[in-house]
Formats: sequence, C-alpha cells, structure tokens
Amino acid sequence: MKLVLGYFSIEDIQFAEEPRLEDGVLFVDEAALSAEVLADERLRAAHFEIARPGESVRIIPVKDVIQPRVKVEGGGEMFPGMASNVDVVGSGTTYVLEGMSVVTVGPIVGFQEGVIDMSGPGEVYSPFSQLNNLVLVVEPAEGVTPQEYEQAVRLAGLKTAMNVAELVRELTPERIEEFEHLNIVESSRKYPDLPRVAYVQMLQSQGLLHDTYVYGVDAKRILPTLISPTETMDGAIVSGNCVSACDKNTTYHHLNNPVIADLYKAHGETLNFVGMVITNENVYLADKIRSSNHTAELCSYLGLDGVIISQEGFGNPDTDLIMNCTKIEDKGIKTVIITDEYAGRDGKSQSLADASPKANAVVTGGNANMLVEIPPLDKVIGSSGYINVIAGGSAGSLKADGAIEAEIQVYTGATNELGFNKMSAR
Amino acid sequence: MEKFKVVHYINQFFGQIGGEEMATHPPEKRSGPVGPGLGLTAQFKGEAEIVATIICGDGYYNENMDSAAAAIVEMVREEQPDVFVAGPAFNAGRYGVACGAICKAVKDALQIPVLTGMYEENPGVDMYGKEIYIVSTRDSAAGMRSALPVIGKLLLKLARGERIGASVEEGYFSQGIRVNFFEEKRGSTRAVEMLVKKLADEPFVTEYPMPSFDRVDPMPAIKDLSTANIAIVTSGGIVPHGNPDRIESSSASKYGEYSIEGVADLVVGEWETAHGGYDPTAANHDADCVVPVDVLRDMEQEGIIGKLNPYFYSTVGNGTAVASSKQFAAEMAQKLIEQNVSAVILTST
Amino acid sequence: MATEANTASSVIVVTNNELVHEAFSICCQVFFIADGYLEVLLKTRDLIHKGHCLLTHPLAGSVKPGETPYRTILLTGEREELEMMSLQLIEDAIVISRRMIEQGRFDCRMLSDQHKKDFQLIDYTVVESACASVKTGTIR
Repeated sequence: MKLVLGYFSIEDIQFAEEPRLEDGVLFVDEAALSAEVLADERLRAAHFEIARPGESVRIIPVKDVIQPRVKVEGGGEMFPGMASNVDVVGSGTTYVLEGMSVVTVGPIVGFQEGVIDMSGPGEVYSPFSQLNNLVLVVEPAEGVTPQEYEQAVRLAGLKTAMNVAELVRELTPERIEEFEHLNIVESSRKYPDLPRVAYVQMLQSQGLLHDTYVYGVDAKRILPTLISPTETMDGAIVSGNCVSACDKNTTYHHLNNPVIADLYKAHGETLNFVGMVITNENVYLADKIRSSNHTAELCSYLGLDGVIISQEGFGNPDTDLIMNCTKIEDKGIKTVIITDEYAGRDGKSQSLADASPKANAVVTGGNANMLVEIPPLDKVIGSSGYINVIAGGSAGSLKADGAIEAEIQVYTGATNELGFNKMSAR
Repeated sequence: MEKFKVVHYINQFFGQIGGEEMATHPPEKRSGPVGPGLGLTAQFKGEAEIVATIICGDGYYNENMDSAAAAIVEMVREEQPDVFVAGPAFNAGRYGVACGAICKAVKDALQIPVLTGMYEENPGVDMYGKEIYIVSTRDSAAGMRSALPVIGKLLLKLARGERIGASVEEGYFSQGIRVNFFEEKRGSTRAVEMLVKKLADEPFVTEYPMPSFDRVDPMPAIKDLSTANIAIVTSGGIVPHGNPDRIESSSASKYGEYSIEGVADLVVGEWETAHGGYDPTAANHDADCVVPVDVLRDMEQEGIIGKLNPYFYSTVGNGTAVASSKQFAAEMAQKLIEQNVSAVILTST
Repeated sequence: MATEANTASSVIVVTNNELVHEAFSICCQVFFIADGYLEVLLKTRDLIHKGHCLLTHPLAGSVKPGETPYRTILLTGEREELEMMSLQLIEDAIVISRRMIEQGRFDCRMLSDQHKKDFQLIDYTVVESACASVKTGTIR
C-alpha cells in the first residue's frame, strides 16, 4: 500500500462569498458551509468563527479538531464508514491543508472540558493554538438526545473539513511526501537485518463521549486488528471522544499520528516498521483481558522485536496499558509505552493507576494535574462558564476578572499520549 | 544590589585540615570561602558570596550526629545566610551522609533553601535525596569542575526564589515529585529513540520509573508445617546484649547470625535491639516482640511446626541502602538453604 | 455461554446513580448507595471480600474521581473465593479516588440539576457499554 500526501500551507482563513485558496489564504463561504451543516435536522443552529494564532481568543468547549483532507486518487473518500461510503483507504493520493483545522464547539453535556487559547500563557499547552482554526459552533434541535447530538456534531465536523478540502482538489500541492506500507513478506526481504517494530495504538472505547470509530465501527466492538498506517492518514480512525481534553486523541491526532510519522522516519534506517495493531480500552474486565491477549498474539505472529504502545485516557486504560505491555514483553518483544500522568497538583502522588516493573521504558506527556493561572482573553468562542464544571476545572476556577485557575488537563491535547508534544515530566 | 549570603559546609579533607587521621575534627567556622568554596564563588558572578565556611570531620559528624548538627545549625544561624550549601561529597559515604543530614537540619531549623551534591551511589542520596536538592556529580573530586557550575546555578535560583525546573533540567536527583517541562523533541520521537536503544541493549532512561515494589512471587505453601524447619530473619536489629558485631544503628553495613539453640525466650539483659530511629524500650524489654522465639518454641513443643531453626539473622533497616539489603538477603538466603530451612518469618520494627 | 436469562440474574450492580438504579433494577440486583462516589467503591470492596468478582473496571470512563459525583460498578452475582485481581483493582481505585476527591475541590452541591443529569447519563452509558459484553459473552 502506498499513499502520497500533497500539502497546501494555509497561512490565514477569511470569509468570502467565493471560496478559494489564494496565496496561502483560504477563503470560505460561511453561509454555504452552515447550510450544509444545518441539513442535519438534529441541529438547530450553526455558525462559524475564525481563530488565528496570536489572537486574544479562547475556544471552549472544544469537541473535536479535524484537519481538512481530500482524496484525489485511490480508493475511497476521507473518513470511510463515517462521512463517506465504506471502502479501503490508505493508497493513492490525498491532499492536506496544513496549518489549519476545523474545530467543533458545542455543549453536549454540561461538564465539558476542551480549551484552546490562541495567545497568552495558555497557548503553550494546546498544539492547536498554533493553527488557523475554523471554528464550528452548533446548537441542537429541541428533543434531540445527547447521543444523537454527539453524533450530529461529529459528522458536522467531518463534513465541514471535507467540504473545505474540496477547494484544493484541482490544485497542485506545494510539496509531497510518500508513505509505503509493504506486506510482511516484502518488508522482511527488503530489511532482513533491521529490528522488526510495530505500533500498538490503544483506542478509547467506553460509551458516550468516550468512543472511537474504525471505518465506522465502534471500537469497543472490535477485536485487536492489523491496519495499514497509511489508512489512518485517510481518516480510517475517527474520534468520538471528548474526555479528557488533555489526553484524548482528536481526529486531527489520528490523521497526523506522530508515532507513525516517526516510525516512518526511522524505517529502513534503524528499524523495519512492520505495521500497526489497533486495540480498544473497554470498561468490561473480560474485554480488557481478551483484547490484551489478542494484541500480544498479533505482535508475536508478526515476529516482532519491538513495539511502541500508545494510550488514550487515564484510570482504567492504565490497566489496559500495563496488560498490553506485560503480555507483549512476556512474548520476548521489547516495549516502549507512551502515557501521561495524574500525579496530583503537588506532583507527589503515584502517576498511574496501575504499574509493572516490566514497563521499564516509559515516555510521558507530563502531569495533567499541574495547576495554571491564565489571564482573561478578549474574546471567547463558546462559553467560558464551562470552565467551572469541566474536568480539571472546579467551582471558583473562573475568577471575577475572567482569569482561570485550572489544571492543564483542560487544554485540548496538552498531555497527549501519542507523543504529539514536547512536554514531559520528571 | 546586596549579595546573597551563603554558608558552605565541607569536611576536614576539603577544608585542608587533613585526611582520615583528622576525621575526628570537631566543627569549626572560618569566615569566607575555603577550598571548593573558592571555585563555587566564581560561579556566583558577584551575585552571591560565601560569608562563612564550616569545616567538620566526617567521623566526628557521623559519631555525634545530634550534637554536631545542633552546633553547626547555631554557627549557620549567626550568619543569617540566604542559602546553605554542603559538599559536594562525590562518592565519599560518610561525607555524603553528613552533607545530607546537615542540609536537612539547617532547612528544618532555619527555613532557608539548602543544597548539596554527590554521586548517585552515595548513601546520602538514598537517605536525603527526597527531602533536599542533591545535585548529581561524578564519583570523585575529579568531577569538581563539572559539579560547581550546576550547584552554583541551582543555588542562585534558590536564592532568588525562582521556580525550580524538573530534576533533569537542573541536574538534581529526582525527589519523587513530578515536575512538567518541555523536552527538545516530541514524545513520539523520544519513544522511537528509546525503543531503538532498548532493542540494541544500550542504556536508556525511562521518563517515569515505575514505583518500585520489588514484588516477589510467593513460594508454594508448605503442605505439612509439623515437619517444617522455620527460621527468623529480622530487620528489627535484635542482637545479643552488647551488640557483639557492632551492627550500626542506622545505614547498616552488616548483619549478624545468632544462635538460639536451647533458648526458650529472649530475656531482658541477654538480648536487645541495635536499631535506631524508633523507641527501643519494648524491644529491649522483651526482644520476642520482634523475634518471636517464645511463641515459636511453644509451637515446636506442641508439634505445630517441626522445629525452630537454631540460627536467626538480624540487621537494622533504618536508612540501610537497598543495595546493601539485597546483598545481605542473598547471603542469608544461601545460608538458610544450607540449613535446610523450609520457611522464613520476616519481621521488622 | 451464559444465556441472557441467567446472565441477568448473575450480575450485581453497585451504584449511586439514580438513572442506573432505575434502568437496572428490573434485571439485576442493585445496591443503591445514597451517598458519595467513595462509598460505592467501599461497598464494592466489601462485596469482593465476600467473594464477588469485578466485571467492570472500578475507574471505568474518563471522567475521573473528584470530577463526577457518580460511579457504577458491575460484579458477579455468584460468590466464589476471594479474587486477588478484583481486590487489587478496587484497593488501587480507592487510594486514587480518595486522593483525587480530596485534591479535586469538586463540590457536587454546586451542580445544577441539568449537570447532575448529564453526569448520570455519562456514567450510565459507560455501564451500558459493558452490558453488551455481559449479554453476548461468557461472563468472565
């Protein structure tokens, strides 16, 4: 399987009646995009706002962040099984709008986190502070259940990203990158002397606001399975997960999975990137045992020497993480795990809810409980009242002057467990 | 601007008084910097100055812990310094323990920032590394040149009241407190690099050391206690009266093997505890409460257990390094196997 | 394979969530705890010591202790010997929850009725996701 990504660098976004990309400026037609979103009768109102790096803007509560992409060659369309028909993706050519994202905002339940600060001391925590964000704010129609609303917001975000990306279908990208995924026979012939390495990605799968979808299938219903890394670049994995902001993987993260990118960089040099296994994080203990057993079996079947395991969330997923790690190590396969920490505001508590001496190679995205005080920003997209009830905030978090005292877990992507960021802890 | 005032603690060797023969030298205060203090002063670039240096023999400090600390704290108090610094002690064990102990004593008594430096295997790191800043140094004084800039930089930050970064950034031993900071590379890149090292069997450093439980899988249960040979091993420091092996009251460097053949009860005057750091009254009055010979003899009589092993093993757990404990345990285990012991009761204080 | 009928009778629910209480009382034995999050964990621990085993992770879901007032846990209805894995999980969960609730500064009394309903719904959907596994699989 070979996928070519063609990049367009988006320097700015503007509203205009005639949508187009001109000198790095993306012009979008707000009315047309809103009309498409409102075609879903579960939504009562929708409007767009633009938030640029450096502006005094806070976005809250953020549901998902999506990078606009369009498939111009090869099977399928973006987000198969979710926003387009089921087809195998991951080969051919896909165009990417770099430097921007579509951010969905909408209160589904009352206690949601997810903050992106476009400037100020908070901007270092969310990687999306560095992007030009096209923010979609929606409201549900009357009588719509939270489940239906969540689904509607999720689809609205994906469709908006696809509509925006359509603008570049006929254009020529500024640069391209190639990703090839060989079958296991070819790859072992090509790199007989390099250590065989795979990536095990754990997907949050626990219920409303805790779900992830693979080709449209709710991940809690899958057995661990093999997937081509290039499939993820075409939206085979979609986030339906809203908790917690700091360590959930948004759809943007899935499209730009840094473990995959860095394993490709090392591929053919220091290791042979054989492939990837996706597994779930269910609440049912028997499911956890079954999935970790199966993950270890798949790794063994692939004849691996090493594995990188990434996590999503905290608490019960720590049990999945440690089960995966120990069972894979027990197969004689070396592991590195990527996680984050809830070591308390003073940093003195045990960081994970589970542990094993076999997990001796850990990369951390930092302590999510770290407190920060953030001065007010001029404009709020969404509503800053949510900061009082979201995870990591608490009553009294919002000061009279608009300043916020909260844990960094409120920031979307702050302690990401795919290793997306530079933050760490010791 | 007024300079920050610093008091520096060093041992008899770095104070140029003498070597081991002068280790009994009692605490003495001199004004201004001495020995390594001169190099340290250079790191301050005029922002701080060493107003006094306290020199104390390593043997003296370790043998007179409480009185030495009290005397030195008074010497420091007179100077009203902004920061107290000790060492660096490199891999000198007694010097390291003295540096750690006096830093903690000064911190507790005077509520000023303190710091020291030593090598990772110095027992002072195990004993005090969680409570005070200990800069990681090389194992000998040849590491002075690389240690002083790190100590100097951290000292100035402490003096200014600045936020102290993560242990890896500042160069001190982790205090078990997790501190966020930004690495140069993103997490996924660090993970790939760590995996490549792990695959090549090269050393790598985990970013989050798992809490060390050192869990041991339990042995299969004894099916028939009535034929079992039961031994006792304790870290509660029970020794024959007078502590013939001179097991240290803290940071034990040895353990003892003691015969209880024919002994029915550990009576007062014949047995006692060498353990420091807890109230020994009960253990000295009736050592059976730590090493339960009396009860096990009863069980032996009643035929519940086969017999009580004629020897028990004892050391002191107080501040004893994990590495030492592991070594003692390995030796004890060998001896216990040779004596055909079927099971061991481990007791502590 | 457990049939649906005997599965239903072999599950115990411990919860302080009215929504779960309502939905599950028709098919399961429900211990409704009219109290806090921690009390649900403590009741669960007692049941584990009596020989019931955990079916769901005591920290299921991503809304952490100290961030929600509600917690629901499923256990086996049958009593067997004390299971160490269940005990380990619940003890660890209690330690973490105590700490997070203390540090969390989260005050349930500040919650509006709508927020309470939202928290109940999320807790409910997390448990519901486990029920599919109860119904379709061998129980443990």
